[in-house]
Amino acid sequence: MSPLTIAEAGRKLAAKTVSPVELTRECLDRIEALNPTLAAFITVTGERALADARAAEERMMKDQRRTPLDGIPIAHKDLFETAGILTSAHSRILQDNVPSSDATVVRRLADAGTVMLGKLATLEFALAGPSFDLPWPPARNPWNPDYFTSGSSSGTAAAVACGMALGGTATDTGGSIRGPAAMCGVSGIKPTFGRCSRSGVIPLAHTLDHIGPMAWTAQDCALLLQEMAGFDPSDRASADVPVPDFSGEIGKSLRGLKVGVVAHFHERDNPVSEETAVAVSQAIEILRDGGAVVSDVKLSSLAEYSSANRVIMNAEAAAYHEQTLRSRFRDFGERLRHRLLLASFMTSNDYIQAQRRRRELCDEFAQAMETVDVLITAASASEAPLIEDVPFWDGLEKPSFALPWNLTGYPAIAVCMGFGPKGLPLSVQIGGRPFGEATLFQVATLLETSTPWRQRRPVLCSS
Amino acid sequence: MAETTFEDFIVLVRRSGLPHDDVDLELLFDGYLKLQGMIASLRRPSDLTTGLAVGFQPEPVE
Repeated sequence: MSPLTIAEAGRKLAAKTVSPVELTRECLDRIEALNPTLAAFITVTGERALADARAAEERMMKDQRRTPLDGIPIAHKDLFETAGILTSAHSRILQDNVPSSDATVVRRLADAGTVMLGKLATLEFALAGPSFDLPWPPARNPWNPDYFTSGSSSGTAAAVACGMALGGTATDTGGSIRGPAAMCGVSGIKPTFGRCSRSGVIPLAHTLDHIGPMAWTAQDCALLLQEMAGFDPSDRASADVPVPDFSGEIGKSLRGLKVGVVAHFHERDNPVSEETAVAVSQAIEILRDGGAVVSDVKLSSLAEYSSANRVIMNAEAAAYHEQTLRSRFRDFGERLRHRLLLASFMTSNDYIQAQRRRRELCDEFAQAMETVDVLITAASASEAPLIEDVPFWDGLEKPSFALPWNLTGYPAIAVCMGFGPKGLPLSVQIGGRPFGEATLFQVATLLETSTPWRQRRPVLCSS
Repeated sequence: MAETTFEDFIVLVRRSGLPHDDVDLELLFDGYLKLQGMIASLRRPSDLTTGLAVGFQPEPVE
């Protein structure tokens, strides 16, 4: 049976035609069957999941469901601290790390009634991979396990794509939500900087780190974000702004919505495959048919946004890991110890110049966003590469479509828009105004419901 | 600015005091050049408008 979406499962739970325990057992069965191939989970918390599910079932039977997520099985990227449960960052450095408390977002989702299935694979400390010399193997692409998931929220994307979990948490510092979402054919949103608390999440780069959800559909992401978002004084970057109804715009007309196409990003700065170009064009046509007004937007080159983001990210990561790099150098995987060593050679001047360029790019981006409601470009250049073919310096190679939104803190969502010749997903990216996530869910849902792609799941799901 | 040679780079690694046993120095140098290329593209002219880390504004006077 094809996995349910969160919205579908929620309706069945509300009608009492399915139970949280049944849903959870289905996920655990899929994990047992598929995780040996996909390595999406580092830790499976089966007993905890069933206990959570039984509690949710009791509430359901008493008509006391706490939220639309009550009884929904999810999992957390292994950067999110979980009380009493290993939180490894997919690294030998933290292979015995068992926190005493939950990250704020983990706690909020638990309070919402979700069922916790376990902890999900990432790139080591969310920075370097895929790595084959760590205590756990890298996650593999559920559409074809010979292929890469992209990173770093690789386990979340793989698990969601084949219904091992109905949704999950993720982080995005340089595209780590939208890249894996694109490669694995799921929906993933990087909300506005400050929208979700980062308290209790192992950092990568403190001025670029974002927390967000991944799920099969944009509508499911809206349901997850509803419970994840909100001010948290324990995160200095947390924004004290109202949390709207993120599903409130879904299904409404796009009439008059101003859509900017950053064509030079995907046509010139990082030319995409023919199939991806067609997918972007189809998405634009759907929005136009829906009543949106489409215009071209020009920004600085993708390379400039990427360079600023990568210099800042590597410098901040090197600062975070400095002591451990000196004391436990060989406990890092090969890719990460090379990356951190490289990053350590950057100077304070390099970091300052990157932050100054960031200021200019943020101003330019804000000015552009005064003229449009959303921007559209590709989420990735093409289908996923073979996992064995990922360059050693992946992340320092071609400019990334994701990085303008990390650098500026503006929200962006990846949406599956078809499949390429290898049978792997293609994806487009929609970016919005600060705290304009509801508009992104509106636009992304129109794209998903106007195309057949949400009806197709990886073959592994049904095997 | 003169381009760093591999020999210059080896000196930089040794002087850094950072561990580098079991490191492929040629591979590391390849990454170094990629990162230096990005850094070079970010150099800005000196001015007073883009370096602000904080932006305090005076309270409006009633």
